[in-house]
Amino acid sequence: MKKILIIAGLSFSMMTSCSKFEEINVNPNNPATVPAEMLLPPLISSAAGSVSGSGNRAGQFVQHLAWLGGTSEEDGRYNLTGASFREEWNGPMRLIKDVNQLKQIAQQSSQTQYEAIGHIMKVYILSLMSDAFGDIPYNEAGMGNVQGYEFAHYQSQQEVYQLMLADLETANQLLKALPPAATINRDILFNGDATLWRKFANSLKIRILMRQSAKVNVAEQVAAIFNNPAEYPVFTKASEQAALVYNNSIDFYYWFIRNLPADGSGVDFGANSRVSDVMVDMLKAKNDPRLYIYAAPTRNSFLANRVNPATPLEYRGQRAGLSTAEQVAQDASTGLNKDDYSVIGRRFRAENRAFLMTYAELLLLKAEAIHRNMGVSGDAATVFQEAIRASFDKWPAGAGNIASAPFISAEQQTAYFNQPSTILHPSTAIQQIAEQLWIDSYLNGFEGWAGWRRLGYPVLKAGPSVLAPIPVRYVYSDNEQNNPNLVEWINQTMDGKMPTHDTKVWFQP
Amino acid sequence: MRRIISLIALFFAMCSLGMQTALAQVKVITGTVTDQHGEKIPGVSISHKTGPGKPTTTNGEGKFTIEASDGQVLLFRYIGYKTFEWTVTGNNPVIKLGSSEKELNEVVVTALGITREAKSIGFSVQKVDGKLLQESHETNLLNTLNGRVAGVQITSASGNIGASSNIQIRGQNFVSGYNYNNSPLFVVDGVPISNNNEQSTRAFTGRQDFNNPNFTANEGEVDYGNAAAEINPNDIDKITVLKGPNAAALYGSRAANGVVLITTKSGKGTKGLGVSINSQASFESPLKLPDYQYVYGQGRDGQYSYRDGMGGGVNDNILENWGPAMNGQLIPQFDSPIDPGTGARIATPFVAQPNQLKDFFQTGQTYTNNVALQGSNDKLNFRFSYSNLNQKGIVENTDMKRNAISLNSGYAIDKKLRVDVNFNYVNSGSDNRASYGAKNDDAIMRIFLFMPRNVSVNSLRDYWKSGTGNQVQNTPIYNPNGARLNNPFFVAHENLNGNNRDRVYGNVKFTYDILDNLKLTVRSGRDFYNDKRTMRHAMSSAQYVNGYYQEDDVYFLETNHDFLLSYDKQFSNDISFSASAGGNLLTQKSKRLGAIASQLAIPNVYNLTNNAVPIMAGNIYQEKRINSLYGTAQIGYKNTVFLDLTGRNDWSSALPKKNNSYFYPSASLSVVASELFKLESDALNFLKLRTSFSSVRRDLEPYQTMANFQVSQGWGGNTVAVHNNNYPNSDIRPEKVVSYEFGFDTRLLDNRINLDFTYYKSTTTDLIIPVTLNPSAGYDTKLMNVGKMTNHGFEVMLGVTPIRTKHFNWEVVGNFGLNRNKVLSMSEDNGISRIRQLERWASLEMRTENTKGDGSFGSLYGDYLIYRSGALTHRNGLPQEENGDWGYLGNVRPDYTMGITNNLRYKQFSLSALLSIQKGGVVHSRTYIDGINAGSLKESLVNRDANGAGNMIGEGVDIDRNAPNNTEVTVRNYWRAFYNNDAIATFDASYVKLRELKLSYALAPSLLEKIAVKTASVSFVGRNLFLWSDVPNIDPEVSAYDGQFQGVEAMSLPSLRSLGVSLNVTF
Repeated sequence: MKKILIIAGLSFSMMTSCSKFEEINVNPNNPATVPAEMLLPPLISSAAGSVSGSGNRAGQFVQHLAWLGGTSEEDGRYNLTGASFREEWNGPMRLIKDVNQLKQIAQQSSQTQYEAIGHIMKVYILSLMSDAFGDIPYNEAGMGNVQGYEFAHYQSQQEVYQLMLADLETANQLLKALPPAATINRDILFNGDATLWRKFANSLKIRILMRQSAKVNVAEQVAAIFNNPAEYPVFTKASEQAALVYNNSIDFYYWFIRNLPADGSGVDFGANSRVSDVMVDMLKAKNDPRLYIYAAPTRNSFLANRVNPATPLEYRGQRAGLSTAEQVAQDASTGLNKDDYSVIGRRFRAENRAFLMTYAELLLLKAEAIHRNMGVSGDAATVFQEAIRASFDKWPAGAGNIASAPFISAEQQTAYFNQPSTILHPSTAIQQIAEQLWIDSYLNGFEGWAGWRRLGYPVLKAGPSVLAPIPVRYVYSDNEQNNPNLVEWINQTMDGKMPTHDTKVWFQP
Repeated sequence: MRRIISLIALFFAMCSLGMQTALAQVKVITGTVTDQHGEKIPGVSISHKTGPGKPTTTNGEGKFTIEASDGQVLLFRYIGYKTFEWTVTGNNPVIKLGSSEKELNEVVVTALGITREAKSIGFSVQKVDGKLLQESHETNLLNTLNGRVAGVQITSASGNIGASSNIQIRGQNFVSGYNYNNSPLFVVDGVPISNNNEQSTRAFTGRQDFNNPNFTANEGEVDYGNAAAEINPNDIDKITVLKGPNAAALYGSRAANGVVLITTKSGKGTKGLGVSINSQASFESPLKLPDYQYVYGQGRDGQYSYRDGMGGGVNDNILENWGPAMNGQLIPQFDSPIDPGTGARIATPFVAQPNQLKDFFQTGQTYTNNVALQGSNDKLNFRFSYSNLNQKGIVENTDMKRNAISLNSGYAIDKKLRVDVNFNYVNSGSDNRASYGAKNDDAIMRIFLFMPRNVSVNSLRDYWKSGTGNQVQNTPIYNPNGARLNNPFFVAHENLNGNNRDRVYGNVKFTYDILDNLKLTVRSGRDFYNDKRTMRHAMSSAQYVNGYYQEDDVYFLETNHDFLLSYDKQFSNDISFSASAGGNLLTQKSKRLGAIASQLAIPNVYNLTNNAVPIMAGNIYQEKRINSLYGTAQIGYKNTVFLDLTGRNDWSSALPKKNNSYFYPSASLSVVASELFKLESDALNFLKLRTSFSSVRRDLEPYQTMANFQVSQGWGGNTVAVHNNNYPNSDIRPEKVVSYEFGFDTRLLDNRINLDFTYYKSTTTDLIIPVTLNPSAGYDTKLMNVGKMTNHGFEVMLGVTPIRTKHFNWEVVGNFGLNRNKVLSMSEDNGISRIRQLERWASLEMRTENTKGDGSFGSLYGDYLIYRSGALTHRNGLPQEENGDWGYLGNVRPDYTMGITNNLRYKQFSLSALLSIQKGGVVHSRTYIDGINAGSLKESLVNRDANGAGNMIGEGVDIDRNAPNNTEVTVRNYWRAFYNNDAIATFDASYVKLRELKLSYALAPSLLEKIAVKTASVSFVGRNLFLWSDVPNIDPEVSAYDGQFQGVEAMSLPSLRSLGVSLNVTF
C-alpha cells in the first residue's frame, strides 16, 4: 500500500512540479521576434524578383520579348486564366505579411527608419500589383494573422493610389525627421543610405501620380515634388536609382546566370525567350547603342564570327505570337532557323541587376509633366535627352572589352544624339517619351506594360495567332478567386463578372 | 474447518446415495485443462456430475485441484467450449477442451494491457494470428494485415524495398498534421511505439508542416518507410486490432484512430528449453508494368536523327517517342558506332528494343532467418530471438538489411511480485533505395516512360560517357542547358540514397499483488530510433548537374511511464466488479539535423565540406508531453452482462494553457444473450450483443500556438528572417471525436458459422486544420478549429466451415468493411468552403456537399476536357480543357473493401488463399498522362501514319466558329492536348487481387517423435499473384510518394509479385 502512495504521490508531484509545463511548447527552433533589419533582404529581393519575373509575362505582352513560335504557345496566344497568374499574384501579395511585421517591430523598437522602409516597400509592391491587377486589398493586405482579417477586403485602384501616396508621404516625413544616429543595416538596395530611400519614396510618388494622370488632375502634386527638392528629394543621377544587384547564387536570377555555355557567347542560346522584333527594329532604326546591350548576336552569326571575324554579328528580333505552323512557315520563307534570333544580351546575365525604378524613368515622367504643362519647371526637350543619357548610364564601361562586356561609349552617345530624331518635338512628344519609357524598362515588364497602357505607345500589333487582343490586365490568381470578399467586391463593382485580361484597369484611358 | 465441512457434506452425500456402492476412496486429484493447442485455460469451472463434491475452477496456469473418487464423472465447463466429461481414473489428467470449436473464451488484450475475456468486451476487436504474419514474408509488417481485418485499409506505397505503407481504420477522422495522424496507435506489449513516417525529401508542395524542415523544396524523392514497418513478424504472437475510438479511450488521443496491439511471444508455456528456427526465401518480380508501344522511336512528328543528344541532330534532344516508325531503316542513333574519321554516328537500323524495363529489372530477393530460444518454469519464462533480413530490390544495387534482437522475459520474484522485461533492438539500413516521383528524374519508372524506344538497355550499362573522367553520364538525351534523361544504371549505381537506423524499444513492468484482488502494475517503456541518411547525386545528374549531397539525421524518442492499480471482486454469484485507475506520463522528443551541399566542388566526393555553393543546413528540436490520469470500471452480471465505463483526463503541452486539460469518457455494454436468455441450441451456439459510446479529444503537434519567424541563411550568406507562412493559433482547442457502435457476435450451426457485425458512426468536430488562406492574406495557412465531419459504416466478419472432418477441413473466412464520410460543415461563415489537402496535379480537397463534389473526404479535383452538348470543344484544332475552375474527378476512398480467405486442410497439408477486393474509389495516374504525352504508351498510337507523323481532325466542335471542328493538326499535338488533363487519367480503382496463396505441410507428430523435433513444417507462399483491374498500366493499389497521397499514382516502382518458401522447425 505504501508503494501505491509513493507512486501516486510521485506522479502527482511530477505533474504539478511541471509549473513550466506551458514552456515546453515554446518553439526552440524559431524565434518569436527578430531585429527589423533581418526582414529586409528577403523582402527587397523578393519584391525585386517580381520585377525580374515580369519580364517574361508583362514583358511578352508589351513585346520586349517574344517566344519562338510554338514554344509555350498557349501563353503566347493569350490563352490565359487565373492559373496563369499564380506566381505574379501569390508571391508579391504574400510579402506584405513581412512588411506588416517590419512596420510593427520598427514601431515597437522606435526605429523609424525601418518603419519608413516598411511603408515604401508596401507601396512599391502593391503599386505593381494594382498596376497589373487593378483593384486590390491595400489596408487589409497580409493581415491573415489577425482574427477577423483572414479574408482581405478589396479597394478600388483609385483609392489604393491615394493610400499609397499618403504612405509615401509618411515615409518621407519619417526619413526627414530621422535621428542622425539611425542606421539601416542589411540594406541590399541602398546600402544603408536613408536619403536614397527618401528619394526613392518621392520618385515613386511621381510614378504613381503620373500613372493616374489621365483620370485625375495631379499637376499640383507633381509640381510640388519636382519644384521643392528640399522637401521632396528625388533621384538626381543614375547611380541613385533603385537597382538591386543580385550578388549571390540562390536568388531569383540564379537560373539566369548558371550553366553558361562553353562557347564564349555568355548567353544561353537555347533559351526560349528572344528579344522581340519591335525592340530590335526600334533600336536599329534610331541607331540606339542599347541594342548591343539588350540583345545578343544571333547564334549563327556568333558562331560564324568566331570562325571568321570578318563575318558581321547579326541582331534579329522575334515576331511575337506565332504558332508553330506560322513559325515554320516564316522560317521557310526567310530561310532562317531558330538560331537566327537574338536572345537577351550577355551583360544582363552577367550583372544580374533588377531595376525597381530608374532615374531615366523619373526624368521621362518629368519631361512629360513639363510637356503637359503641369507647372513643373524646366525644359522638356533637355530633360528628355537627360533621361536617355540616364538610361545609357546604366551601362557604363566596366572590366573587359566591348565584346566580353559591351558598354555604351561616349562616341556612340554623341553619334546617337547627333540624330535629329532624338530631339523631343512637341507634336510627337508623348510618343517619343512613351517609346523611351518602353525602351528603358526592358526586362521590367511591369513598367513597360503600364507605360504602354497609359500612353498608347509604342505601336504594338498582336501576333497573328492570338486568341485575344494584347492583354491589358492580369487576372486574379485562381488561388485568390475564392476569397469571399473578392467575390463580393466583384458583385458590387463589376456586375459579378471576374475581370479578364481584356478588362481595362482604372488608370488606363 | 473447511475440510470438516466438506467431510460432513461428503458424509451426508454418501448417506443420501444410500451407500449403493462400496465406499470409494475420495482422493485429491490435480490436473490441467488446456485447449486443443495445449494452451492452458484459466477459469474453467469443474463440478461433479455424479456423486457429491465441491466444485472448483482452474487457476491462472490452467491447473486445478479437486476431491473426487474413481468412477465419479467430472464436468469441465467453459464458455465457448464443449462441456467435457471425464470419468475419474488415475491422477494428473490433462483435459483438452473442445477440439473443434471456436475459441469463444479467447482472452483479448485490451487497453493498457488488461486481458479480458472476449465475451465481456462491448466494442469491436479483431485478432490476427502471428503465424499468418510470419508466413506472409512481407518486410513491412503492415502489408501482412492487408485484407485480413475488416474495415482496415492498408495501402502500400510501392514495390520499392523498404517502402511505406499507410494504414487507416474506419476512414479518415482527422485532416491535419503529419500523414500518420490517421494511423492507429501501435502498441507493443502495452507500450506505444512510433509509426511516424518521416521523410527527408518533401513529398510535394501541396501541404505545409509547421515544423517539418523541408530541407528541399523539390519533389519528394526517397521513401524511408514508416516506423511500424520494422517490427519483426517472427516475434509476434498475435495482433489485436481495436477499431475505432471506443476501443481506445484509455490509450488517449493518439488511439482515436484505433489501436494495433501487438503481443510478442514470451516463452510462456514452453517446457524446458525450446528452440525454433525459421527460414524464408522469396523472389519478387513486378506485378504489372505499363503497356509501352514499340512501334515508333524517339523524335517528333516522325523525324529523328542522332548527333549529340543536345539538339544537334534532328529531335535528338527531346524526351518523346513521336518519332519515325521503327522499320529497320538506317538512322544514326545514340548507340550507333562512331565513325572514327568524322566523329559522327554511323547510321544503323532503326528497330524497336522491346522489354527495356524488363531487361533492366532484376529478380528481387528476400531472405529471412530467425532463431528463437525459449523456455519457462514456474518462476521464469523467457524468449530470445534473432532475425536477419536481407533484401535485394528489383532495381539493381538497391538493398535492405535488418537485424533484430528481441528478448522477452518474465520472472516471479516472489509470490506477489513479478517483473517482465521486453527489449528489442533493430538495426536496419540500406546502401541504396530507389527513388520515386513523377517529377523526379531519378525515378526509374519515369526514366523508362521517356526512354527512346529504339535504345537498347544494354547500350546503357556503361553509364559514364567515355573520356569524361566519370563526370558526364552516358545517356541518349543530355543537354547541360536543356532536356536531360538519366541513364537508369547511372541512377542505380551513382545516385545513392542510403540510411542506417538503430532502434530500441521495449519496456520493464513490475506487477505486485497487494491483495488477492488488488494488483499494482508499474511500467516504463521507451521507443527510440536514430536514422542517419545520406543522399547523393553524381555530377551530370539530370536534376543536379553539378552533383549534390545531403545528410539527414533523424532522432526520435518516446517514453511512457505508467502505473495501474487494478481491483476486482465477486460480490455475489451474480455480480462481479473490477476497476482500475492509473496514470501515464508521455514524453516525445524528436530532432532533425540536416545539411545539403546542392553543388559539389570536386566531382563525386560526397562530403558536406565539398560544397561549391553555401551549405543549406538546419536542425529542429521538438518536444511534447502529455500527462494523463484515467480510470475504468466493469460491472458484470451473471457473467453474461458487462458494463464498462472509462474516463481519462489529459494535459497536453502542445495546447494553449486555457485549453490544455481535457476529459473524455467512454461506456460499453456487452450482453451474452444466448446465455442470459437461455437461447443456446444446436442452431444457435452463441450470441453476444454489444454497444459502446466514446468521446475522444485530440491535441496536435507541438509549437503551433505561437507565431514565429523562420531564420535562414539568405542574401549573400547573411542571416535573414521571414514571418512563418503558416500562422499558428494561440486559441486552438483539441479536436473531438464522438462515436458509437453496436454489433453482435454469433456462432451458429454447431459453430460452423460465426458472424460478427458492427455498425459505427463517428463525428469529428473542432477539426484542427491549417486552413489555406488566399494569397492576399499574406499567410499560406492559418491554424483553425473548423468544420464537422462524420464517418459511418459497418464491418462484417464471417467464418464458415462447410466441411469439418477428422482429416479434412474447409474453412472460409471473410471480412467486409464499408465506410462513408461526410463533410457536414467547414467554416462557411469565415468564407472557408473548401480546404485543399494535397495537390500534385490533381488536388485532394475537403468540401461540403453544397459545393462541387460528393461532399466527402477524399474528393479529387482537377482539370478536364470541355464538352458542349456532348461534343468535344476545339480551338485551332486542339481539344480545350478547363483548368481554371477544377472539376470533380471522383473520390479516392473505396465504396467497400473485402478480404476472403479459404483455408483447406487435409491431414498434414493445408492450403489457403486470400483474395483482397476493393470496389470503387478512383485512382489518378500520372504514368498515363506523361506516357501518352511522350508517345510512349500504346494509347498514343492512334492515327499515327506509317512514318510516325500524320495529321488529324479531332471530332467535335470549334468553339470560336461554333461549327464542327475542321482544323487539321498533327497527331502528336492533338493527343498531347487531348490527354493533358487530370480527368482523363482518373480511373475506377476497383480491383481483385489474389493477395496470398499458401501451401503448407507439417510433419506428422508420429514422425517427429523419432527425430526429437517438436514441430516442423514447410510452406510455399505466393503474394500478389494476380490482379484483376480495369486501370491501364498500373496497379490501382499503389499510392503516390511515401503512401500519403492516396488515389494518385506518381511513377513509384510497381507493386511486386513474390514467390517464396518457408521452413519452420522447433525443438
